[in-house]
Amino acid sequence: MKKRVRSIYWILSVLLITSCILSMGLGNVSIEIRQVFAILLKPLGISSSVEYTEIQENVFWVIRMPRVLFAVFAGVALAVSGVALQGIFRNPLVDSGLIGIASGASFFASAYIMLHSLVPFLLLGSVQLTMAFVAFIGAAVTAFLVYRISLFQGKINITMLILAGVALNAMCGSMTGLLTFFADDKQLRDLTFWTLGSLSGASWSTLWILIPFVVIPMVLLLRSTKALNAFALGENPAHFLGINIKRTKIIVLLCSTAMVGAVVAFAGVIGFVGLVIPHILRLIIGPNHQALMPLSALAGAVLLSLADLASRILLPPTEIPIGIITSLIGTPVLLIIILKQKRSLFV
Amino acid sequence: MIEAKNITFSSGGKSILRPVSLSLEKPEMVVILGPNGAGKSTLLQILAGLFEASSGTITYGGRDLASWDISELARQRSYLHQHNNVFGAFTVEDIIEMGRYPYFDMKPSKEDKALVEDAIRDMELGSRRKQVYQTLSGGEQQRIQFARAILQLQDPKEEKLTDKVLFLDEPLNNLDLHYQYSLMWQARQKIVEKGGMVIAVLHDINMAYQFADRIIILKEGNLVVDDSTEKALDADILSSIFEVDVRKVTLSEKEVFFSTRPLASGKQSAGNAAVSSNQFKI
Repeated sequence: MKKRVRSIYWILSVLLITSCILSMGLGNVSIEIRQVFAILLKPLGISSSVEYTEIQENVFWVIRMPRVLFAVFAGVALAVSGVALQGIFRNPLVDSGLIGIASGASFFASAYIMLHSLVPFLLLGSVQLTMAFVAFIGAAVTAFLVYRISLFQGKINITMLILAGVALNAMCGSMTGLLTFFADDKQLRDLTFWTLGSLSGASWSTLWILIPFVVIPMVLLLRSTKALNAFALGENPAHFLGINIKRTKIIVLLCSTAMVGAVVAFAGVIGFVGLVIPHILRLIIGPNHQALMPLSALAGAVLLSLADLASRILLPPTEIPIGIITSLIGTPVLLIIILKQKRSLFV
Repeated sequence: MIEAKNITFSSGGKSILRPVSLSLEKPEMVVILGPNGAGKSTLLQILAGLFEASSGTITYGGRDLASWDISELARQRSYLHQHNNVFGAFTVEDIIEMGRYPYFDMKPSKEDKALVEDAIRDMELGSRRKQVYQTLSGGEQQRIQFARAILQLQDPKEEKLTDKVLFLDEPLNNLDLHYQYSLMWQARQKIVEKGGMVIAVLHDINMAYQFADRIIILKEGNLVVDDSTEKALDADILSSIFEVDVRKVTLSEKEVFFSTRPLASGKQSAGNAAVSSNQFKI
């Protein structure tokens, strides 16, 4: 198993580097691979004989680079939050979508799009930042509500959790739908962006906000992998093993909300990454979170950077919303897994 | 070691434990017996610190149980649950190694690994070690969980397990005769003989008779018997508590308990109305 984990590390690392380089090169302004390297090496003071235009260099630094990095960090956030949530709820079907983080964020963001003239404050003078903040609040509120509803005698009841998630998702969905009904053309485009997801808003400024929201929770969650393994035995056995159940749950819920809330705030709802990545990896390398967590991070980054590349180059010059791509890939993969795993899925 | 004073527990207006006081000091095996719903598991869980009693106090080594740090407590006592569902395809080795979680941060030490090996060998799980927990039978799963619980109390530096406590909630569930005895032997040898304490909820009176040093019997939340095994296990007392015709007989110089039918009295009679005495030909 250790050997397998190591080889998966290598495969995913190579895939990640390849997909990043491809993403930096491909698009409306094409940059060849050797040009990509030349542009990358220039700030290090290494000049090469490869020629490139100023437009290519600008596109690379201003548009491509932040977007590729955004995809990487967003992929890490979605996949890692999926692993952690499935771990504490002891259920392979839970992800940030199910517990309402994504739909809550997109409902609040949609409401802000429609009503932002009525909102009296602007965060740091930026509409974009304020919207991200509002979306984040939406994520936190719905996640908290779902969590509260599912509490029964001080413990999370998984059936209640799923039902509460379904109900709140439906409510947020219908409210967002209602807003769509009243939206004008410009607002409609913005709303579509939120509900289907897109990384087109990625820039250095959004990236710098996203990074701490991903890195800090990631560190905390990596420190909780042993606790998550103990959760696999059940909450009471984990308690007897010296794991602080309450603290672990709070860490996982807060970290997941922070990570996914930040992604949804800038990129809208991107489904299935948090569900499919951990599931596939569990089949390949087993359930031990000490390997599962970092590998899911890598795989999430690979999937989202490839999906973003696909969203940009499949139908030029338009972009397909990335949420559509991930769902298109994710759903059949999930169905295949479920069919193969029918008997062992719920054990 | 464990001192419980006047602990009660009620849930949803229903009183599950009436004031129970216990003093558990010596390295011995204490078996809790009693009819279904008598509050045995509740008492065990409260003594182990899974949740707090509604009233009363529990101290471990003179210190209030609530003041113990949870990770410190994890090296002091372990607990074998009645039901054990595992999420994810963890192997036998993985699960047993979790018994060492209170002792290492991220990676198990050499000593931890060696103890895991011993546990796998002692519970005769060598051929199963790489298999996924859920694919094994109920009895095998029970042995794995028992190995994990024992492992949690072992100290590679210290031969003695003074003041450590192993809690077992119906540990013989799903086990065949061989492993029933194997488990009880190991609980005695690995814990009691080394100076630790075992507190077990059992249903098998003969097992209790053979292995326990002390017997506690609960009925409807009341502690009705707390005595040495010899004194506590009396055929008349057992007959009235369990509402069956318990008799003690001598077989090959050993005393055993047996019974043939439920007694038609109290709550048990209703459910067994159809049982007639001629069904039992002993």
